[in-house]
Amino acid sequence: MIPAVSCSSHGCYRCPGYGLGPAATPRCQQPARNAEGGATPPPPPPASPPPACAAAALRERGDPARPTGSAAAAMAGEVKTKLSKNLLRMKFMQRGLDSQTKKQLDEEEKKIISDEHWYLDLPDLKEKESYIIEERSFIPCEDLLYGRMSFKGFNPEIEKLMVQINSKSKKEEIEEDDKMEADVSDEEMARRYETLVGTIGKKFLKKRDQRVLHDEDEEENSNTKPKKARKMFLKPQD
Amino acid sequence: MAGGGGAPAESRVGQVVLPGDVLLLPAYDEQDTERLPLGTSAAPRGRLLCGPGLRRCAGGLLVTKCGLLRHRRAGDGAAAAGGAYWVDSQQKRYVPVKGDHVIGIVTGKVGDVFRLDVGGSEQASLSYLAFEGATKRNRPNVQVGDLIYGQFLVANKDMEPEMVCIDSSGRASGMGVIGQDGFLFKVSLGLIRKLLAPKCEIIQELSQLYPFELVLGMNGRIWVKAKTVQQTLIIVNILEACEYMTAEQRKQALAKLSGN
Repeated sequence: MIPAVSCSSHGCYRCPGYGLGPAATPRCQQPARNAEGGATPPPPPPASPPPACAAAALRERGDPARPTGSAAAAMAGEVKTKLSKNLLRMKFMQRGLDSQTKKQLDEEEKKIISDEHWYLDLPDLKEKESYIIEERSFIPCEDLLYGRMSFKGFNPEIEKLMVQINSKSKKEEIEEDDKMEADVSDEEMARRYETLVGTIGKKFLKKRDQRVLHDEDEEENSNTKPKKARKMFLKPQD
Repeated sequence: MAGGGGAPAESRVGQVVLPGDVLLLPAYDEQDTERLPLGTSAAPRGRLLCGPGLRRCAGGLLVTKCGLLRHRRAGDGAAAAGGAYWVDSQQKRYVPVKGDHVIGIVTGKVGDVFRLDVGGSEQASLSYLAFEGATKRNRPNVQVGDLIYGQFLVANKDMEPEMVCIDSSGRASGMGVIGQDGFLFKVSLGLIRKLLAPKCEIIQELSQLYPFELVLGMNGRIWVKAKTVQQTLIIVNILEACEYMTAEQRKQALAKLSGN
């Protein structure tokens, strides 16, 4: 036996024996098992080398004491019941699973996840919502001004900035006052927009549609007024 | 005075408080939970601002600096919706605070950042990209020894403070390298706050004298520049002296100067 290489069920990726025939298969079967734990009973001799790696895995994970050399038909039922969890969790095994085992697997998985979930083992926080804000700066407390100043036009840029920054708070108050008194009452606004609907709507129409509108108007007019001579392109006479 | 129980905060306003004093606040929370707020007894509830020199604790506020307790009622400004308490202390050592505008002196260039001496326990760092219009290719022209007016972006204890010279919209708005010439000197932090207060008499009186420019950093540094060196020095002397002058003394000094 060459313990250097083993099949996927033993923890490696590649089974060198795969597809190579009985002479090569034994390689992949035992060595990793022995490494796993010394307590396991001695593995059965590889009497009938499995055709593929998956099959080897099935046999491995099942009852180790099970006779290996039995008929394949008798094994089939037995194997189905004894499939390992890890194997059943594999994607390609999900299709053939019945609902019960599926549920069982899900539960186990959930249990593992919840067991592994970390949480802080602390008593509940008794503090109520605090209404105190800690502030390390004097600026909001004392309403301090901006630190750059210029006087009597020494630095016009800074003077502009001073007016801008230091009047910010005052401006806000003024704006609020503006909101209180509306210049135009709601009714007047509505009346103005009533008349605007048509004129502004025209803007968003295409040229062609505008013309249609226009023509319709004319036709209406024509009912009352004598019909105007339609302007048409006249072919120039030679 | 405030042995173990502490005194109500309102009664101590304007008095000297010492580190360890506990200031009690009216218990809004208990009232709310025990019975329905009837709205007549308690003041309108808002967020209380606990300013420098104070810290939250179980009963109310814990004083951490000695000085005069100050209070501002709710509604005086936009920032303090529920009023504000703070301690007005006399102090010369600056401790970086996020959002403060300070004057820093460039002490070195280390890779992508400038090292700035702001008078705190540690030098502040200032990225060369934190200037208006600066890109990777277009570096700001900052030399060692320059004065920079900037704002603290990061100022935690145990961490190196970080400054920027742009506001949140990416504009300089007065920050950046402070121009040539001028005179830099240092005063106490209390005086800076006095000068920066809105409608400060000292500044208003000085502004009547002659054209000059002034940069006040919250770290106690003041930079002054006027048309001549003499004028600059006059302003400097007045500002340095005015901390302990009465209004009349100051007016006399100013009258003497403006007569010249």
